[in-house]
Formats: sequence, C-alpha cells, structure tokens
Amino acid sequence: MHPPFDHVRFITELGYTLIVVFLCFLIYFKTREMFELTKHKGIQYFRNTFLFFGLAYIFRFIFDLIRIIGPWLDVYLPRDLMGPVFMLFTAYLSTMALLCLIYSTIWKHFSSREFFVASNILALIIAVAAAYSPPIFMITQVLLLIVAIVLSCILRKHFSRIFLLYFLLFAFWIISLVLVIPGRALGFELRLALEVISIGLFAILYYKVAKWIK
Amino acid sequence: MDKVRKRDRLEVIHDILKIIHDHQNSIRATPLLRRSNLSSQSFAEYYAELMSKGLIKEVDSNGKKYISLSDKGFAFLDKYKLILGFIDEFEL
Repeated sequence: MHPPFDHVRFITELGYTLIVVFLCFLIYFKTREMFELTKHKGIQYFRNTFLFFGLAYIFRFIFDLIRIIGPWLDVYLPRDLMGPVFMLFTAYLSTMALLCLIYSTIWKHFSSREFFVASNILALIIAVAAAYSPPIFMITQVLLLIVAIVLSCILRKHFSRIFLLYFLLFAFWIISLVLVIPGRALGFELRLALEVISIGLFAILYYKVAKWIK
Repeated sequence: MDKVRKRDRLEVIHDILKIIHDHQNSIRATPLLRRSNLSSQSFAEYYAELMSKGLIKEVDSNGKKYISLSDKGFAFLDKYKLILGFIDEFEL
C-alpha cells in the first residue's frame, strides 16, 4: 500500500526549485559579458558558483522527486541505486559551488591550478561519502561553511554584508538538504517559510548583480 | 616617504585602452609603451594579453602598424566603472 501522493509538496518543491534555478542561471548568464571582457578570475569563480548551485538544486529536486513520485510510477525504478547516484551529483555540485564562492573572494592568495585540482578531489571525496551516507554530506557542508567564514575573516580581515548574504545562501541550502534527506520532520508551513526566505536571498543577490549589468 | 600605489591588472588594461582611445583610436606601439608607464617586458605581456582577448587589433596603414581598439575594447572602456563596482560589491 503506497502512502498518499502529496500534490502540495510536489508543487511547492517544483516551484521552489524552478525559481532558485532560474535566478542562479540568470546570474550566471547575465555576468557572462563582464567575464568575457575581463577574464577576471574572481568573476569567473563567482559565476561558476551559481552554475554549480543551480545544477545542485536540480539534482536535489530529482533526488526528492524519486522519493515523492517513485511509488506511484508504473515503471520499475531502482530507487536504492538512484537515490545515492543523485545524492552523489548533488554533493559534488554543492561542494564545488561552495568552494568556488570561497575561491572567488580569496583567489589572489592561491593559484587557480592548485585550486582546480584540490577542489575537484575534495568534491569527489565528499560526493562518494554522501552517496553512502547523506548525513556525512551535510556535516561536510557545515564544516566547509565554517572554514569559509574563518578563511574570509583571516585573509580579508572583516566580515561584510555581502559575506553575510553568501553565508545565509549556503546556510539555507544546507537546510534545504535537511528537508529532503532525513525524516522530513518539519511541518508544511515551516518548510514553506524556509523556502520563501531562501528564494528571497537569491532574489536579493540577483538584484545586487543586476545593478551592475546594463 | 609615500609608497606609490601599484596598479592592479584591470587598471593597467584600462589605462592602455584609454591611451589608445584618446589618440583617435590609432597609436603606434612605441608611444603606447612610453605612455603606459610599464617596463618593456610588462608591456609585451599586456599587449599579448589584450590581443589574445580581442580587446585591441593591429591595423596596417601606409606600411606602418598601428594599434586600435576593437569593439570589445570599446565595450570594456564603456563598462569599466560598472565592472569595478561589481568586483567591489561582491568582494571578488
């Protein structure tokens, strides 16, 4: 006997994902000309952050979708296999997004070649670990977020408003992962409120980007 | 004694493009090198970078080689302040 299909949850998750992915890709494509003109490494990694972030949200949604509609499909889905595979992609993309954002603000201190190799190795390790154990994935994301804050405070000697916005974006991303991974203990209203705040943060960031793109 | 502030990469690129622009978009390499306040080696590196990025182009006129801005070069000058503002706002 299947649990009842949760239409409301499906629609809110779909809407939330579409809006966030749209905003991420908008930031990525709208900053293309600026990057093409300058080839500035900070702009390059800032853009990559939102490309990875948008893709991570898509994979997160697919991961959730398998759990929401899987039992209702007539076709056979190897859910035991698909869950870890989509978690692996989500973890890789999410870690790359976080590392790119960190690097975009401290790139003057490190070579990009070292960063490319190190970030991919780290993201792959976290991705494989996440496929086996989603809680490990969330712990690593929280740790990376703490490292990002400490690094920015040490190297830049301040914690500005834009860093607060970056921090909140990733904090809400981690919360959105909690919503799809363990027991989904949160009620619908709280879940919706968290998603609305998350969309608001992306909208603020897009607004800030749009100011400089004419 | 005051230390002279070192120009960053983007600023140097802007200065080189501005010099070309201010010379009716046509200048020879030697006066451009002189006015850009760069060593010959640095200038050669920037020159190669600007050419590879397509911000400047070489134009032959009466057997002499002149340097001009490309459309992309004009766009860079046009958007320079916005680019700096963006980099500053997002602390990149």
